[in-house]
Amino acid sequence: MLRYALSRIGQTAGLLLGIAAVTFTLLYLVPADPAAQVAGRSATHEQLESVRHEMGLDRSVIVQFGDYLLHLAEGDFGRSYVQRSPVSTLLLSRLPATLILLAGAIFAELVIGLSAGIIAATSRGAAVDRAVMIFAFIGVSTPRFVMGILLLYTFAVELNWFPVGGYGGISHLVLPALTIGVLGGGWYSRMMRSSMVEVLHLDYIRTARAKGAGEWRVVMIHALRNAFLPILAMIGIDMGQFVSGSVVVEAVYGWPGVGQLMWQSIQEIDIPVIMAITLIAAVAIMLSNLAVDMIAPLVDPRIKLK
Amino acid sequence: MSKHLRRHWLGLTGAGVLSMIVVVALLAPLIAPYDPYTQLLDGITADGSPLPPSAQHLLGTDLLGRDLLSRLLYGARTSLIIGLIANGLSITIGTLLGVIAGYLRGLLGAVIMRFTDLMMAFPALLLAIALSALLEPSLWIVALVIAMVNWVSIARVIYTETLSIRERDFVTAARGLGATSPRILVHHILPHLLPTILVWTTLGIATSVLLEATLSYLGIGVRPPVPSWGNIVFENQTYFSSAPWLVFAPGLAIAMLAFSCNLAGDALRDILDPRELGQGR
Repeated sequence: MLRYALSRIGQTAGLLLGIAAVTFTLLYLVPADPAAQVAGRSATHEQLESVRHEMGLDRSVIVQFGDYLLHLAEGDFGRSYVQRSPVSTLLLSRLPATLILLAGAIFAELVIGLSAGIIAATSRGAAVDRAVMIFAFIGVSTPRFVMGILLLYTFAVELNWFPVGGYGGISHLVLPALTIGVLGGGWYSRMMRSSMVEVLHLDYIRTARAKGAGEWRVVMIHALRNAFLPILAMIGIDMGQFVSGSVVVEAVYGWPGVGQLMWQSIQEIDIPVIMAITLIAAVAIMLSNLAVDMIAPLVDPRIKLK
Repeated sequence: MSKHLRRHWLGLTGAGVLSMIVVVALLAPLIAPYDPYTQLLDGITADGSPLPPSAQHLLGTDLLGRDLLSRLLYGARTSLIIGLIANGLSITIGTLLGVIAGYLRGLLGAVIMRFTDLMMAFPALLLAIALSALLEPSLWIVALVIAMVNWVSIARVIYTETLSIRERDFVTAARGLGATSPRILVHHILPHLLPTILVWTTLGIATSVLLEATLSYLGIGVRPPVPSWGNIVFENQTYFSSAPWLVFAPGLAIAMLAFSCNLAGDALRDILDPRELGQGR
């Protein structure tokens, strides 16, 4: 286990370096002149030179990359071109809202996905089963902004049940969380269904039935416990992907999280903020994959380590 | 055959809708009632709001007084270009890199696959946003960005498949008979990869069209006035409560296109991979 853990951590560290190299390239090497973006259009040649010197752009690429890594290690993501404040401050102020949305969205995904998946698995081949499959396909085919606007229009504008976007209490959270929940729930339901179908074929389920356990008890207690393992991995991956997934939803609902910061930075072409969020999202995905790989063998002893 | 038809009616429906959208896109200049770029003088009410659906404008007009139906029909062309060019490019890149890494293995293969792993770590949407923010977006740049982001998963799948195919007996036999590597690749390995490539091409249309729509909705994809289903929503969303059709008609079009590709792709996978037949359904 220790060797496995060490090698996975080593791989992760290598990937981290690679990820930083990619964002560094996009940040400093691809744009024609990062200094021009900071100094503004009306800058004179001298001003441009001094900004270039201030940003360290007159040094060699290797030194710049080393500097970039050092700053990252200190949690310094540079300065926003537009707001002039450190990117890390901007990010920290947005993090709580995104975490709240994350909790709400995963809760909605689980409630919708697990119930649909269990219903489909226990009525295999029936019309309900097929309906759940079509629901899953609709989930992966509908853009989040379309579902977001649809729920906003139906439940906030027409029915007036929820506020039209914004941030505050639970009532503000329902629609954004539901947007992700309905679409992502389809994905969960397919996973839940196939996992449940597999488990329901196992001998211990037959034993439970033979001993007279009721169908509800067999499915919800005996089978669900084992069928839930792949879902656990999925939640991990889902959490890693969350920053990326929240951009559109936060833009639709005006939810003041990291995703909305990304959206605002896109409108203002604020490259340092865009790159910082991209970097953080990649790191989040990597860490969640690592966590899933570490936790899986602990939870399920049947998983063999490479 | 009829059993096949019954089994895959969803996939067939998907393929049907998909072909319909292709026909509509190709015939857009003939069937569009108005020019999609013209701001009609009578296309807007006195107080400057868009017209509701009527006999003249079946889906109403947009915020600039352009005929929405015509813009939707021309928007299908944008989706078609993305589905063909962006998706075709990412399939080509992914297949090439996957086959090379899987067949040659060695140092080059390892380098390619480590790079693939690295790209995999980035969420597609954010990487696409980062790339589009740096480049001056046009339809072609957006197609390129999508290809640069989407090849990764195809490369992984093709790599794994190639690894297993190259160990099969008929490849060993061909090599024993003196076949050169290029010949083995083209005549023995590629034909076995074709089903996988076909399935991923179909599913890839959905992925790329959805990514284009999302980028355009965020204002960083295809730029107006060129109509794209995503940017029609982007342009008109301020009217979503007073003129919801301006947002829901293009939204429905995107979802329908992606839905039909996913259905068709899934059925294709089912048909082309006999191993999966009858498993869990």
